[in-house]
Amino acid sequence: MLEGILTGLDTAFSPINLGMVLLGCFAGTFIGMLPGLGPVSAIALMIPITYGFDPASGMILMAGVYYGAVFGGSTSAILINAPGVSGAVATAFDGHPMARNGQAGRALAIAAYSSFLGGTIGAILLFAFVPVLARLSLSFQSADYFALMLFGCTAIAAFSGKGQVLKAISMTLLGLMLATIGQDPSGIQRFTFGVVDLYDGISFLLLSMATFALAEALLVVLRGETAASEAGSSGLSKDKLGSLRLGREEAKDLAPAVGRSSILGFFVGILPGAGATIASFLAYGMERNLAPGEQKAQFGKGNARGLAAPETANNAASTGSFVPLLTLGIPGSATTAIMLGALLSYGVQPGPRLYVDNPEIFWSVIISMYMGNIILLLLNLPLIPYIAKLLDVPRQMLTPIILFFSLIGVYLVSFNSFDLTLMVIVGIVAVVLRVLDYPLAPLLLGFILGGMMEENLRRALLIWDGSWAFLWQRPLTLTIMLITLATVLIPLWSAFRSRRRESITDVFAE
Amino acid sequence: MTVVSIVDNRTRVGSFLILVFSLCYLRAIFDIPVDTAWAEEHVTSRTLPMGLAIASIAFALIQLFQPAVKGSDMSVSSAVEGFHWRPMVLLVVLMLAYALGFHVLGFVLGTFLFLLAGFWVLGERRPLVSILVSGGLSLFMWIMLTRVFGLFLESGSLYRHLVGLR
Repeated sequence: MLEGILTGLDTAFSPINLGMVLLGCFAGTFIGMLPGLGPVSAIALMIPITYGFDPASGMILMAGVYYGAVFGGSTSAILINAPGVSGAVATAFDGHPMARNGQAGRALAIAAYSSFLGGTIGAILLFAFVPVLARLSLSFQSADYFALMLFGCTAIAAFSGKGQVLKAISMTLLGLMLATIGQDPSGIQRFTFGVVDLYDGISFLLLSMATFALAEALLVVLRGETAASEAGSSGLSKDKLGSLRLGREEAKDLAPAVGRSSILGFFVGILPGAGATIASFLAYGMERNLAPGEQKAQFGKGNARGLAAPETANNAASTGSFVPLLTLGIPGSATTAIMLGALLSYGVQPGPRLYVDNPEIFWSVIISMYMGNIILLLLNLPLIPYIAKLLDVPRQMLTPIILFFSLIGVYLVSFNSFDLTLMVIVGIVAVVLRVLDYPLAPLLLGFILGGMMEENLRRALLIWDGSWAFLWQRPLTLTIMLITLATVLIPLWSAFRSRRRESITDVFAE
Repeated sequence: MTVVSIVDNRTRVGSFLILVFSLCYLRAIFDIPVDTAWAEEHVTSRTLPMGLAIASIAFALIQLFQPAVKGSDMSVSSAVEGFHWRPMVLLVVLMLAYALGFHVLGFVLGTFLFLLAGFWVLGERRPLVSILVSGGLSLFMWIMLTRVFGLFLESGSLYRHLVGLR
């Protein structure tokens, strides 16, 4: 393990990779600050750029972009009450009122320090958990992997919002169906309808760019948020920002909230499908419930704890979400799903073997994630007044540029203009699904896990001579299958009951 | 009656669309050739798609026939209220034109025209700024991609025709 860490340190501290973290953090902050573009879009936009890179450098750049985008999302949430990412929604509850009260600098400082501490505690927990889990998962067989992938697909659905469980399951299935387009593991063409451009299937980059970057940009246009007069404006000069320093007393007061939220955030982040948004809301709710009566009333009006808790939790959860990706090869969120796709395209298979076969990637990503936190604190915080100027760029110019980068990003990977047309079509479908309130993260997760799931299923069935008994005869597979069933059935049952109750109440109210 | 009508309900419209897609997918499964060498196997190229199609149809039907609740099932009409369709449709047309005309116009000219038109569609009415930004960005990207990263970019049949290249 020590050797692996040293290799990782050597890789992470190479000048090129240090530059990657720096570049990633800056690019991520810029993109994350734009309302509508979150870490998923930011990473998706980076993929074409990193295709020619060494896998470790590519992943380091993306890890930097991830943290930068999370930080950028919080900045726009605090300054203009427009969270760039869903994980920063809870940040806006108290962060924006603080900015309105003339404490924008203080709010940004609290957000940055909390994020840093959340990331630090998350990284320590990651160091402790990942090797243990990776070693444990080395004993996994195809049957267990199939069950795990099924669990990954269902967990994201189970953690969807109220009334979204069935929709999320449908989207996961849709993603799995899209993954079957093209050549199957035995070399047979499926659902290609004789179109040569579909023989290799739909690229994950095309799907992720179309469903996130392109669809988001089109939705911004649909909602009319691009008009020159409505351009987001930070309205901040360096003088108006106020002090970026925190007092010792204040730091002492916030410390317990930061500690609690870090641990909560990390463990919520590990759960596939839960992620930063749920973690930040849970941390906010926890701090609000723990606050004494007088302080509780201040929540939502600019309470520092109300800002520190979600910020800490969402960063710790971002770190935690790397645990299932690095140890099991199962993404826990849309962001890590895109990273999984990127790793696969580099020819690197995440999972327990990554720890053994590519320790330089495994450890350098973990180390770089922490370095990303340090860079965000040391460089981004002082530069916030300048970075915030991006919010003043007219949206009527920014949106076509985002569309162009999405399109050309996909083209640069395949050099096939058919992909551009397909991307526009997928983007329109994604907009329709978003309008109909269907979550798109499960679709991407299903799409990315689809190929691996089929491969493991086929292998398991071959080993078990065509018998499905592996699902209940292998104790580990059975355990995962039972957990999977519970994650589907419990939320489905509660959704069905609440829907029935609401429906009956509605009819009686009439 | 507070129960939202079937047609104007986001969940029902969505599940109906997914049902139609799943039925088409199910139909297409029967066109997948089954390799004779694999035909006797327990798992073929049709196994997983068949399972997925059945599951997707089942979930779409559950959503279609579950009781509708006004609070959580917002109507499609209210969801799209205030939407700015015109610029969105124009941008989609622009993107399609960019994609289909890429081989003719090439990267630089295609990108320049796409950005210029995109700015105009979204309300940018300063011609000089628009030309400078779109022209500058397309040239900058072309230099970066071809000269720095060494990538080949389509110069376009129009350009080749104009300079006499075949």
